Amino acid sequence: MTFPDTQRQVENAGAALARAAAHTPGWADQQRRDFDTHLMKPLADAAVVLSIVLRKAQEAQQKAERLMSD
Amino acid sequence: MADDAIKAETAAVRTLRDAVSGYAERMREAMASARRDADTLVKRAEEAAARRKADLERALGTLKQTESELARCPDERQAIALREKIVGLRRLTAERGQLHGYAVQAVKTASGVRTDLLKTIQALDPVVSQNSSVAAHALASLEDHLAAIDLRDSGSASTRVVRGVRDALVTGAFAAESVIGLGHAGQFAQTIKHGYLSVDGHPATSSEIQAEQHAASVEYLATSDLMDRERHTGREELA
Repeated sequence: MTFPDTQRQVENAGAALARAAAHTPGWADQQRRDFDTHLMKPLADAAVVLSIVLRKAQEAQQKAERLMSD
Repeated sequence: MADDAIKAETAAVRTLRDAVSGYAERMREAMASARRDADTLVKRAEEAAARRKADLERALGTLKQTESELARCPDERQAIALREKIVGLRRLTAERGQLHGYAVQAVKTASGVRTDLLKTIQALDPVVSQNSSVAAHALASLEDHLAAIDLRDSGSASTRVVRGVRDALVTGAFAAESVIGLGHAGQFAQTIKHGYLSVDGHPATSSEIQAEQHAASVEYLATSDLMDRERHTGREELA
């Protein structure tokens, strides 16, 4: 995979997790909020952070490619 | 009614558990892929730099040889031709030196990408693996307990059992996460706070990350929250 492919995969993974968590019935209580905040949210954040770093990696890769081109 | 409620709860729990497992798997694949891509980029840049260094050394060798021939040349007409050749060779050497310099910059850029990615992955990997593991385990346990509920109970009793089991497991999962994951969450927060995610001179600071997340309508757990939790837990442990 390339950095953009990987970035899409990460974004899709985060979005799928958010969708599954958002449509779960019967969890609208404090425990659900705790579960979201302390387990789900760090997972969603991880996807966002990795996506940002992968986008920056892609930009840097393009710069490196230009420097390497004849 | 109780049967339907339990079935819906079970299906929802299973969906979320599958989503957590799928997420963890895709994130692990993505992190492994990113490492490979970064390694490949560094290797290609290093190969390009080595190739261009060889080109530069060949040009320099030819230039020196020609200059040496000129120094020993007794014939003026031949010397004129050698001088013209040297002018061209100097231009070629300068061009190859510039290309080599670009390739060296490419190596630095690629190495920076790899370093930033590895630091980021090092911070994220424990969060992904431990949080998803704790969540998946809690949800699997909840699913087992839901399956074990005796549906012959009255509806309200079953509902109470479902809620009680769910609350206990979610609370337990939170407690487990607090113990297992908080160190890594703190490390994760520090990584963002200290701007380790910089690539190519453009630091992805915590404010930049938060701005991007805000723009993407992604709610972000602020670094300070994580740090507060860490301090809070520290105080609890001391108490």
